[in-house]
Amino acid sequence: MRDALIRLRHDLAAAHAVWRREVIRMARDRGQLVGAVSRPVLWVVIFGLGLSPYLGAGFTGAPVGYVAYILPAIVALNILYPAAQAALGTVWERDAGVLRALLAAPAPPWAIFAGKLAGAATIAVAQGLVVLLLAPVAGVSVTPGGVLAALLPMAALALAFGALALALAARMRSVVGFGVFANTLILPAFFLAGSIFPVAPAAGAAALPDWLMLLVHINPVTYAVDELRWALIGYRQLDPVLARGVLAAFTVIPVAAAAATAFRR
Amino acid sequence: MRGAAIAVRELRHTYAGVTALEGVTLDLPAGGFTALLGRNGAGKTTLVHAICALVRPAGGDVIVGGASTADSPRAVRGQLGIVFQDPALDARLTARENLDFHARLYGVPRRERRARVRDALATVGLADRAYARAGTLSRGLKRRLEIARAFTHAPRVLVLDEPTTGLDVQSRHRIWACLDALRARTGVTLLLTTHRMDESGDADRVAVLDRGRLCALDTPDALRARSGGGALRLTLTDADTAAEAAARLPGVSRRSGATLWLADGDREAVRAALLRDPAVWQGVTSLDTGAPSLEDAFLDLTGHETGAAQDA
Repeated sequence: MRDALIRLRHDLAAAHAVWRREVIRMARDRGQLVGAVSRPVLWVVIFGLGLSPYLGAGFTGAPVGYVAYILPAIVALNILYPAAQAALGTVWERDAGVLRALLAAPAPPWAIFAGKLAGAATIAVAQGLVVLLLAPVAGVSVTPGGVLAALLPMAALALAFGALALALAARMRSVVGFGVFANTLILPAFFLAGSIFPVAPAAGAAALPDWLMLLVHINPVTYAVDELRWALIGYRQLDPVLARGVLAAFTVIPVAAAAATAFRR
Repeated sequence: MRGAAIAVRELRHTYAGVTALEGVTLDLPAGGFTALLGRNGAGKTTLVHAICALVRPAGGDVIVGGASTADSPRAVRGQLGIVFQDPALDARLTARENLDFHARLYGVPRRERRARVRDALATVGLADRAYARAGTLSRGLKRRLEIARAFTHAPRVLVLDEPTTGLDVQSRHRIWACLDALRARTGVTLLLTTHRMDESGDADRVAVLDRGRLCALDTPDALRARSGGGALRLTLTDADTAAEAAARLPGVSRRSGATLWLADGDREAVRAALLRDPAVWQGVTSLDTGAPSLEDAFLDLTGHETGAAQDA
């Protein structure tokens, strides 16, 4: 019993070491830091403020403005990018032999996986929070309570997407460009999350095609974005019980799948 | 000689139908320095990975300090410090942070961590580069940093897989000096793989691995003595001339490129044959009877192919 506890402490220390390393590395990656700031600026200022006269048409009569509506979705987008980036770093590590050095340590693979995933999620949530600095631009006043409430769906989305990307990365045998990740995973997940168009169009506005609505409802990120909207701007379009149920499943399933397959020696 | 730090028993392994190890049995005495010599593809890295419990062998067992890699890989891993063939440093972390991360990963207690990291950096002569990003270090310094990292957690055995490949002479010498200092200070057991014969010369024992089999295990001196002591070595202008000469001279035991080895004991006959045959004699660029090198011994043991392949 005592041995098992000592062992568990060592495993957690190893996971903590891996987490710490991931965070330090990210903090020193200038490219990622630039992306974390420029991405939300581009979306909120250019896309949101600049194009809202045209794109916000479906929002006539809606309780929130267009820029406020897309702000929580940009938070989600700024979580999806770094989570996928962390997974890509893992493929690179395998190529460079760094991963082998990790796996040769006494710590079990799950501890290394947990450290990696926690590191990716931490970085992703931090980048998601950066978006909230633009809240005044979007005309949203963010309260401390709202940020706290948003942290849970943010962490859930970061863990889910990080695990999904890690599981995919663990199967990849060579380094592919980040563009592959971005185009096949991030951008569809973002666009099909009701991020820049209403999931339930206001009365009198043009209805969106059924096939698009179907894809939106299948996409688990839709529910995360809905939760984020509720936390940050007090507006939601979906049933809260359904949204939370989907989000919980979306977090648990990829994490379990990734833990089972990733980082075998 | 104390007990065995690592005992390899009847180790067998195949990769996708290709046999990498074919029943290797080997004891590494505690505190000793064993060089594992073999050409590329001989099975050295597979053996190293089996010792580190990174591959599950098809058969046989490896015991490290009483723990079996099959039953308690964790206990095995904790006793080993490994320098892999491919560099595996974190370029964005500083030298110190790389070692600190490793110490945490291996469960070095917090109060010892700082001192261990400092000592390790000092031992390899990198104390003044502690705060340099690993990515900015030269290749030789990176290698030294990896060696420092491998013993930060005070392992019983240090395993180095071709640590000097691709380094210049100065860097190689520095690495040897580091390893000597480390052995003298800690008495760590050293296992080093190499395809360079000159590097095995410093080892207590040389294990020669060829095509997945252990074909010799002896001291460097004994290995040298084993290869036809004092054979006559003729170097000719080129491989064609050497091939032609080989056909005309008596007692040629082996040919490799432009070099011929003539069996010992029949020097008079060789000399007579050489003098008799000016065509051969004119092609000779050097002739020596020096003591056999470890390289000769290695080629004697593993030289199946003739010609250029052996020179590579």
